[in-house]
Amino acid sequence: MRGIDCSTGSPIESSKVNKAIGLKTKIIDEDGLFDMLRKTAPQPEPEPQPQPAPEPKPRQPPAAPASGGASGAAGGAADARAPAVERAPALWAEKYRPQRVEDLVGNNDHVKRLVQWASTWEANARGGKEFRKAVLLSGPPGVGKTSAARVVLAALGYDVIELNASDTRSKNALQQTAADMLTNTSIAAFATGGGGGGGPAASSKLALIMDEVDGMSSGDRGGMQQLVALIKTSKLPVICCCNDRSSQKVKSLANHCLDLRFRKPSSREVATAFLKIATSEGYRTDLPSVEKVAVACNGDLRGMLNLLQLWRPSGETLNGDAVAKGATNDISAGAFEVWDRFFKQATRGSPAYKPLDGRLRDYFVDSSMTPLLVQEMYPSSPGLSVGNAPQAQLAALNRMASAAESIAESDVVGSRIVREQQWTLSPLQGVLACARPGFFAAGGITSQARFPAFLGRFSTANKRQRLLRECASHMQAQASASKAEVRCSYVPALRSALVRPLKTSGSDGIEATLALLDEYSLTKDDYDALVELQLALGDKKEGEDLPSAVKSALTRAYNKSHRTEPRKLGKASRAAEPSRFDEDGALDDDAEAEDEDEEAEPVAAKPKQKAAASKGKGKAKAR
Amino acid sequence: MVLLVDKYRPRTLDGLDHGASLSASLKRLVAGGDFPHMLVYGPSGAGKKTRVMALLRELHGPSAEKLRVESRTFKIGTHNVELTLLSSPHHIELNPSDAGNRDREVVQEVIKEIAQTAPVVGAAADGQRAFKVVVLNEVERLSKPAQHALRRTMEKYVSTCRLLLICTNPSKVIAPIRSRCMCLRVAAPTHDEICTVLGSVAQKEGLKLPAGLAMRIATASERNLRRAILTLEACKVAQYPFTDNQPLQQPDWLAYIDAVALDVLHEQSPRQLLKVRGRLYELISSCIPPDLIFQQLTIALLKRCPKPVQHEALHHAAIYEHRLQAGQKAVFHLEAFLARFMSVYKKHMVMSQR
Repeated sequence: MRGIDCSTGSPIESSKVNKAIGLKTKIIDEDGLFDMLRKTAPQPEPEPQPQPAPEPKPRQPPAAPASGGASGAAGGAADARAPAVERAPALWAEKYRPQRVEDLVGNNDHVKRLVQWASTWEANARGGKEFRKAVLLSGPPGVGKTSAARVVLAALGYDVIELNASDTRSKNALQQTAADMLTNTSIAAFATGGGGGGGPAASSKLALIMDEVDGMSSGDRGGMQQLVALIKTSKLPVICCCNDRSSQKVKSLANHCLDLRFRKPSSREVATAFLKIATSEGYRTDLPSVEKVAVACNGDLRGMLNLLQLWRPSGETLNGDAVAKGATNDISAGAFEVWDRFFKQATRGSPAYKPLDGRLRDYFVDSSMTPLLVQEMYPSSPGLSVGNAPQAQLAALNRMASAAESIAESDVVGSRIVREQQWTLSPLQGVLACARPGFFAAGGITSQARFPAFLGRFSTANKRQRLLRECASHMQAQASASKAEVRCSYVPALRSALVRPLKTSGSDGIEATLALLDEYSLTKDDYDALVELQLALGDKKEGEDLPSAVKSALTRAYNKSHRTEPRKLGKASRAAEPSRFDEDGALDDDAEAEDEDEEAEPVAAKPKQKAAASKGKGKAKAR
Repeated sequence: MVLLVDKYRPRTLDGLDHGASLSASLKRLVAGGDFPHMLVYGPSGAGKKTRVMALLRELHGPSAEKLRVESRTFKIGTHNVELTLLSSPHHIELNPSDAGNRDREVVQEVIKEIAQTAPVVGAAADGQRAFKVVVLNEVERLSKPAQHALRRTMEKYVSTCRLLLICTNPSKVIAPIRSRCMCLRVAAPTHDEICTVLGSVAQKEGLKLPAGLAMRIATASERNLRRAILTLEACKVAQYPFTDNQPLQQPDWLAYIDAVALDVLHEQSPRQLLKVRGRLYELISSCIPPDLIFQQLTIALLKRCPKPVQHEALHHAAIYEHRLQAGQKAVFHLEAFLARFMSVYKKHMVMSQR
């Protein structure tokens, strides 16, 4: 086929075309091609019928007994469970979703309690007020919360309505749909003449599963309160599931629910369960290798099934080797599992050799933690500790310096990423922060990873910066120094001036110390900060070696003088700081309390409040 | 019983101990009751703030010294920013860089608000001084966006407000701001000037200060007057009567940095680097500014190593310090510098042994 030059419209002349002409190949143009296609195309079929749905869903239109007065709400729910029944889904995690209570893996106690709760629900709900009408199942993903809820309810003959995060669950939506359902009974119940407005008939009871309640987000405004309200008046059992039990939203719900916290099943339990599945899928495997996968998946049964299904096509058997191979690629590991890979000593061609993109993948496992681990550990690499030969030592020091320099460069890149949102620089940071230091300090670290000291030190530094800032702002009126200058000049001087009287004359020096504190408008907390902000080469820090009797006497004296006496204002021309002082805060509290009293409080409440206020004050001082 | 440094702080332009010509021109400047925006810069302990306060006193009389500290919380967007304001009836002083990442908002909202409103006190009394003075400390620590936000405010509200910007390093202040200000350099006092000040402080306290000791204090405090007077006080506590060669009290952090330098010179190995890293963490987490650590560490190292090493080490120090300014995790840069220094130093030791 021969085209035309787009810009000139003339046929393309080129060596290939010339050769084709020389070989007398048939040359066609675009139209010629279409002609050829038309001639050679097979006889067009008659307009294809729209494929009928693979299997008609028999349950949906006529036999949705649950719908009744709330067809809108139940529609989604029916959809949700329909596929599981009709045809075996390709996904193992769905295909082998537990169908019976016995199929559930792990958390046997909780399942038992759930069964007991559900089976006695009707009797209890009508009777005792103490009875919790709802259950809250919480736990990490993939441990079988939703499965447990479905299976247990199904076993007890309930029709399940399920609302999850994909449904709107705002206050209004819940009110309109769920409220109808919860206070109604199914039409089927009337049909069988079971209950007539009272309890639903045994054959078609309804239950509600609220899945993923911690996912009720800002779009679901008021949904949680509405849910709690529903539970209180509910005539059906309600099971709520969530991952994050500690979430603030879930906490309020938990007060109204029977609280069942699902744990991860042990890797042995998971592995045993999988072996059954493997047998029915014709996947040959053994317990130890499956257990290894289970450990890597961290008890997430669903995740493990998905992973193993992914591996299945690559072979009939699953053994230790396959696990090791797959694990490097597909199992998501944490920074603590991957950091040492950067220090592996491997030349090109050896099995442990990993090209740069592989190393980068390790970096991206946890791009904030891995660099810190590498930074923490690189000087400990055996590759840098060489014998006593000076030349070798020098070479090692050079490599160490290069590693450290690379890490320093990565910090510059990292701050670019953070400050300017230049995320395209991430791979570069990976190279600088992990791959290069690992290369320079290669030598196969075998020692245990230390937790990066940077994190702890960083938070200490932040805390002390705050202390210093407070301190500097308190003395701002007296001392004209920036924060850094306060730290470098004033802190050492003030500290020794404050500690000296206590050291030389013990408790008698307290007066002088407090006077100096007042002069600079400093508080006792600032005094403690001054003592803390010190770099001692030996063990003893100035001010910490005072006898504890003197220390506590100082605290007492400070509390006493700063609670009862009106604060000294220092020099007449220099009034300092109204709001920062502790005792001022306390005075304010009292004033407020009195204000409240005058406004509306009954007289009896007064002493109590006062006591509370002074108690709080005492506590604050004791710090 | 305040520290000597604050007890004898000069309060008036006439009382300032050094930079007499600067004081005189300032005095002439404010004689008319008005002045432009000013950028006051100079090293720590040179007397920038003291001079600014003296200037305000010159302008408004002793009432400018009625200071009041308050901590106020400003609501900026959805966040609360706590700022400490130091104010007299005539001026407001604040540290906008304390707001950290939100310094731009502080400039945009808080300073603008202060600048917009005309002063209440003073305006009625004499019409000519109807402007507020806003003193901003540590301007060089403001982020670039915050500095840009300041530009417009400076121009727009010039009728109601004057800004006095204080910083140590004017090259970190963007050029548009520098051009809108009258830039005043407050130079560090010379060693002799420091000796004179120390002498007069000692005299007022009734102490006898030998000239030799005064000079040693002046040298050790690197022309930082504040540090000099604080050192004098520490020396008095340690030993009085003074002698010419009594030991000087070093601040804790300087001694610590010296110890780090000795560690590095004593042994060069990965193990030693880990040990030194711990000390660097300790320095940073006790709030010593990283660039100061870097500077002092370099000085402490260079003092103790031979010439060829000095040259190479200084070359690296410049590069690593620049990186420190661009980065965030200071300890990485300090450690990298020390690792490099170890290798340079070792190289020299190995070569010289041959």
